[in-house]
Amino acid sequence: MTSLSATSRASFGERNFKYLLIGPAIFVLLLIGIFPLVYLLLVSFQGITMTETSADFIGFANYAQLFEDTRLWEALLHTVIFTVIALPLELLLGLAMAQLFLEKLPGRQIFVALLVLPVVVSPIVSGATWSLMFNHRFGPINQIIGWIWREEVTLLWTISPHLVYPAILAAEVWQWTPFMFLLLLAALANVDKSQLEAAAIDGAGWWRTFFKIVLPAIWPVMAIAILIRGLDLFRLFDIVWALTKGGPGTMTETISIFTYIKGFQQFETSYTAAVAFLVIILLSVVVMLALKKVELSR
Amino acid sequence: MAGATGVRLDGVSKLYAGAERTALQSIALAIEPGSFFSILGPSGCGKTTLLRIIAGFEYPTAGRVWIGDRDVTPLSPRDRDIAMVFQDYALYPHMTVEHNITFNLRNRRVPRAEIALRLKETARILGIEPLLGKRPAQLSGGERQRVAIARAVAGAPTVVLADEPTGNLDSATGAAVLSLLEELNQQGTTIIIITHDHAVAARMRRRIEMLDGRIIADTSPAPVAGQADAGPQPAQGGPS
Amino acid sequence: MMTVRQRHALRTAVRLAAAAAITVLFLFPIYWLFMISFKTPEEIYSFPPKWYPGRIHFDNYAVLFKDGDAITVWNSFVVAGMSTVIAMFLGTICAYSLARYRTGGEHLANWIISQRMIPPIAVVFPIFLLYVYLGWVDTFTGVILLYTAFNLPYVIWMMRGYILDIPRALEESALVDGCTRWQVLWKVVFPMARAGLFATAIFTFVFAWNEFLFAFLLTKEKWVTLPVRLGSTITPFQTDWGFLTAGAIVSFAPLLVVVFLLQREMVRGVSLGAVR
Repeated sequence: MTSLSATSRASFGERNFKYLLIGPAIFVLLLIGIFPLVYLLLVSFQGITMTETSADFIGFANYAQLFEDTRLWEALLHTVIFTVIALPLELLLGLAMAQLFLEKLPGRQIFVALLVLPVVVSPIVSGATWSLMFNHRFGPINQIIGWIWREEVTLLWTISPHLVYPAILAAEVWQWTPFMFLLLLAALANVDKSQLEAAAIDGAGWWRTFFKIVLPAIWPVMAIAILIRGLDLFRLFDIVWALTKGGPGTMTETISIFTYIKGFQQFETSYTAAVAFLVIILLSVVVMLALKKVELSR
Repeated sequence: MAGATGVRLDGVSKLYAGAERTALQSIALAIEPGSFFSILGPSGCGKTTLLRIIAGFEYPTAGRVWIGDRDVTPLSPRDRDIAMVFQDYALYPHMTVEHNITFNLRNRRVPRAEIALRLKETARILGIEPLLGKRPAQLSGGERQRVAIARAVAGAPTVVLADEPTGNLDSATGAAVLSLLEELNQQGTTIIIITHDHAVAARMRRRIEMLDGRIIADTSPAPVAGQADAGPQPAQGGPS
Repeated sequence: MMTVRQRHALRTAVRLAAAAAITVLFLFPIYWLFMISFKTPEEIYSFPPKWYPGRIHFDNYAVLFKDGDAITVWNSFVVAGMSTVIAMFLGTICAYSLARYRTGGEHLANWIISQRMIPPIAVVFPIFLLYVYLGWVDTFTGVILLYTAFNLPYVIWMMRGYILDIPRALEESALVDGCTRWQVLWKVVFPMARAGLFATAIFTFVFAWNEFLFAFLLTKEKWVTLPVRLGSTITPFQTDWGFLTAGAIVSFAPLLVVVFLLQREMVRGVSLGAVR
């Protein structure tokens, strides 16, 4: 509704204040952010590959090639699949956990401290650990399943087409649910207690209170957490690389892996730049549409 | 206690960017020093906007605001010598009751001895001495209301603004709150409250009614104390 | 029927059990990570998998630290710490401006988050070029600025959400109570956003600490950070798991200390954060 400053009659100091606040941050962002983007844009219109190093402009050739590259679009599809499955899982689990730890609990501090650990481990290391855990002979996961199944199990988690997605998703959700958990815990803490009390007096059940009062209250933070996590999932690399290297074949190849292979193994510099731009544009469009539909501030 | 100050609004209008109609339409209003004043009206009539402009949270699109003999229009709320009791109390949850009340005085570098004195006095008047060490979350609704008032008056402001001070309270507590405000007024503080409750407004010595951004009625007592109200007069732009 | 107290006690017991179960589940891979670092290569590749090593031995750890490696821990602390502090401060005040004054409208906010849409691999080379040109390779300013820039969009967007959760009336009340706008920020907004502040700081710090790719490219000797030091001991041919995990845990440990401190502040903010 209203903002703290209103019309042009706002005092000089106040108008300066809001610009002063954003100034330093914007400066840093511009400093580091502008050049790479400009560079990428320029390079994407050139024809630099492993063999060709001339910097001549070749127009939209790279972009045209994009549309015909089925491997690229498959990579995008894989990435979308990962994002669309992992994100809700992390969100719901994180929310449930945050709700669990909201009220006082003996040892709450210790629990929270421990539960933060997965997110602290570097993704490279966690990927490596999970790949060992998923090892078909020496890994504990098959062992545990074997106990439940009552016979020896040698599931090929990192190779079998049916299992690679669940394996990657397990590692990913494990690592990042604590992220959602922590963020949502902080948000739930700010929910107005007196509103909850009023709802309790009015006889509202748990679900109704949750949907009508809690959810709207934590929505700003939750929406942003979803946005951030979604964008990060789209750039998924480390865990997938550690577990399957994008395999079997290119079955779990994400767009970041595709970019890496094309750029750093096949040295298609200009093409990669075009791909990077495509990703940026796609994501920007999606995010803009999503933000339009969603009301962030009240 | 404090010297009484009047509030005057001169042709105050407020138009929100992107809104279809004006929130306030050229309001002219003079509130005498020491008034016990209420602004009555349904939601959306502009009364909250008016109060917020007097407080300094909003800037008028046109017109000027005077508190005492100062044109406070360009001034921040901190420089207007006012106090405000918010509809939702707006107590700082991360501070104790005592800190909530003394926050104002500490910000203005009032000497510690005087702060302690004022705190004691205010807590006594409002009967909240036992609550001083607690946090707002531990208080009942009525207690929070009293703390909110204590916070407003601790600094001995000349004008106190209150947004629906009885809104969330039962009738007994509400009546108690009004009595408190009356007492304050008798000591000379100008009190301006917003309400949608006619019964509350009836207790105030002067009230205006608003609708759609305009003042539509102005009930002032006759100049001689003790006489009955002169009755509602249709107001065109402002009384005098 | 049960009394209210008994019901409450039962609820707490159930919650405790659930908390314990979840914690065990989440901690298992970390436990496994620890165990690997203590095992011999034969134990790692043994069938059935060993859940604990026959003997805890620190051979894997012993090889890790030679002369001059300890400095990388310090570097990591400084780099991650400073960039977190700067990013949190600049980012939060920027977030406040966006939240309360809607500065720059949607466009500014969207541009800020778009920085996070770029796949890091794609900008590795241009940033390297930029740094060579500016002479910032292996410098204090260079590394800190980079991580600050990386983390700013995250901090800005997260803190904007947390600030939007704070009732405006509290800030207005502070204005009436004699605060300048800066004081409103320091005395009311920051304390109230404490839980969110520390939650955000945790991830900002973790990210800066664990970051490998850019640290690898942009440092040479003076400002080499821990992940780079450890990473450079892994050759393409070696899959020495014991060594890798030992290194991971060494990298992990100082990080843990900092995160522990931060999250303690955060939980404190959670219990304080009852509005009204």
